[in-house]
Amino acid sequence: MKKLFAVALGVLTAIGGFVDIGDLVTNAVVGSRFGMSLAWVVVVGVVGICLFANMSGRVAAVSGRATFEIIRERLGPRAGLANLGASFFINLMTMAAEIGGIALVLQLVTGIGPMLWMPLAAFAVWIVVWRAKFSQLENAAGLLGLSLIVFAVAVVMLGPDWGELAHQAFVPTVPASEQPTTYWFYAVALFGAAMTPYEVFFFSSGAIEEGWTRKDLGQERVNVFVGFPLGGLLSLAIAASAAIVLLPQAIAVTTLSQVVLPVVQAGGTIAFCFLIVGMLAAFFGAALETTLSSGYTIAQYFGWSWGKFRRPAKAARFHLVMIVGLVLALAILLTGVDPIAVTEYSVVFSAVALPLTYIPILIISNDPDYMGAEVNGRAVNALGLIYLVVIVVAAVAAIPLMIVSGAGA
Amino acid sequence: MRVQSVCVRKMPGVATVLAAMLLTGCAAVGDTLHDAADAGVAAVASSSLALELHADGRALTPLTDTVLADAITELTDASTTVVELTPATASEEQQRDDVEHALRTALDAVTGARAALARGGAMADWPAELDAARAQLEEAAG
Repeated sequence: MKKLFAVALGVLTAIGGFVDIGDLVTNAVVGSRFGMSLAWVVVVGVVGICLFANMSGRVAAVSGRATFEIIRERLGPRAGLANLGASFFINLMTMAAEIGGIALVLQLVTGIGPMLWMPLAAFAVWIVVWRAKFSQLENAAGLLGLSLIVFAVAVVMLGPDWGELAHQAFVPTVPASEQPTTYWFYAVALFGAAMTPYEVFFFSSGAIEEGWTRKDLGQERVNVFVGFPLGGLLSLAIAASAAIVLLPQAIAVTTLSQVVLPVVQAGGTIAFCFLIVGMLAAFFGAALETTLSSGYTIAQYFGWSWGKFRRPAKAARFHLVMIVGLVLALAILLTGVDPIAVTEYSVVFSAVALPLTYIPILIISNDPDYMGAEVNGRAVNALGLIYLVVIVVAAVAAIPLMIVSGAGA
Repeated sequence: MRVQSVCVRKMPGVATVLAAMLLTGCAAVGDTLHDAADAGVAAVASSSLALELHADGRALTPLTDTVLADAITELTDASTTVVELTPATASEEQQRDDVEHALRTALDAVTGARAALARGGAMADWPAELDAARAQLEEAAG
C-alpha cells in the first residue's frame, strides 16, 4: 500500500510538474495561431523527454551519481564546460521566465503590476529552496500543479467541434494565413519547450536527493512513462483551448492574460481560481527546479558538495550559486523586459542547446563502466539515435528559422 | 469581416518583429503596417472578450483590467512602430496614416473602457466602441 501510494504520488507530481511557463505560453501561442496543427510536435517532444529522462534517471539510480558529475568525468572538462555554459544560460533565462510568470499570475488576481511582485517571488523561491525539504517542495508544487487540469475541463465545457480539432491534429497543414517558416519556427520552439534541458538535470539530481537505487527503477519508469505523457495531454489541452476560443477571434496570444480567457469563458470564476492555483504552483515549482538545477550543474561540474539532503552549511557554494542565479534572474526581469518574451526566447535557445545536453546522456547511458548491465538496449539506442538526428536538426534550424521568420512574425 | 491573417504579430511585440525584419533586411513598410494592424485587432478582440466575460460575471475585475492594460501596451507599441516608419511612396504614406489613425481610435476605446471599469461606471457602450475600432483596423490592414 505504501509503495502504491509512492508510485501514485510520483505520477501525480510528474503530471503536475510537467507544464511550466514555457510549455504553457508556447502551446497557447501555437493554439491561437495554428490550431492543433502542431500537436504532433508535442507528441514527439513528450516521447523524447520520456526517453532521455528515463536514461538520465537510470544513470543516477544505477551509478549513484548525477548526470553532470559523470559528463565531466567521462567526456572531459572542455565538453563538460560547453554543456555547463549552455545549460546554465538556458537555465537562467528559464528561471527569469518562471519568476516573471509568478508575478504575472499575481497581477491577474490583484491587478497590481508585475514589477512589484518579481522581487517577492524571487525571495519566496529562495526561502523555499533554503528551508523546505526536497520531497516537500517537489510534491507540493507537483500536486497543486494538477489544478491545470482545468484546461482539459475547459476544453470539454467549451463544446468544440471534436472532428475539426482531430482533423487539425491528424492532418496537419500550415494555415493559409501563415508562412511555412513561421510554422517550423514554432515547431522548433514547441520541441524546445517540451525537452527543456533543466528537466533532465533536475530529474537526475532529484534521484540522488531521494536516494534512488536500482530497486527504484520500476517507480522511476512509471513516473516517466505515465506521468510525462499525461502532462503532455495537459499541453495539448492548453493549445486546444486557445484554438477553440482565441483563433476564431484573431487573438494571437502575446500575453498571459489572453491565455486565461478560454478557461474563464468556459468555467467562470471557479475555473479561474483553479487556474490561478495551477499556474502559481507550476511556475513556482519550475522556478524551484531551475534554481536548484543552476546549483546542481555548477556544483557537480566543479565537484563541490551539493544537495538539499545536506545542510546549507555543508553545501555553501551550492547554495551561493543558487542565490547568485536568483539575483541574476531578478536583475534580468527588473530591466523591464517582458517575461513572456523571455519565455519565448528561452524555449528557442533551449532547442539550440539540446544536443549539448542529450548527446552526453546517450553516451553515458551506454557506458558499462558506469551502468554495468543496465546500459541501453538496442531498441532504446535506435530510438535515441533517431532523436539525436531530430535534436541536431532542431538545434541547427532554430536560429536561421528565427531570423527568416522574423521571430515568428 | 474578420482579418484572415490570424498570424498577426507574434512573439513579444511589434518592436521585436520590426527588429527581426530589419535584421534580415526585409522590413517592407507594407508588411510592418499589416503586422501592426493585426496586432491592434488582436488587442481589441482580447479587450472585447474580457469585457463580455466581465459583463457576464465570469471574469473578475483585476483580470479584466489586466487584459485591458496589456491591450493598451500592445496598441501603444504598434502605434510607436507605425509612427517611426518612413514610407517611400505616397500610397504607403496614406496607408501608414490610416493604420496610425485606426490604432489611435482603438487605443482611445480600450483606454476609455479601462477607465470606466476602474470607476465602476456604465460599460454598456464600450463593446460597440471596440467593435468600431476593430472594423477600422481591419479596413486599414487591407
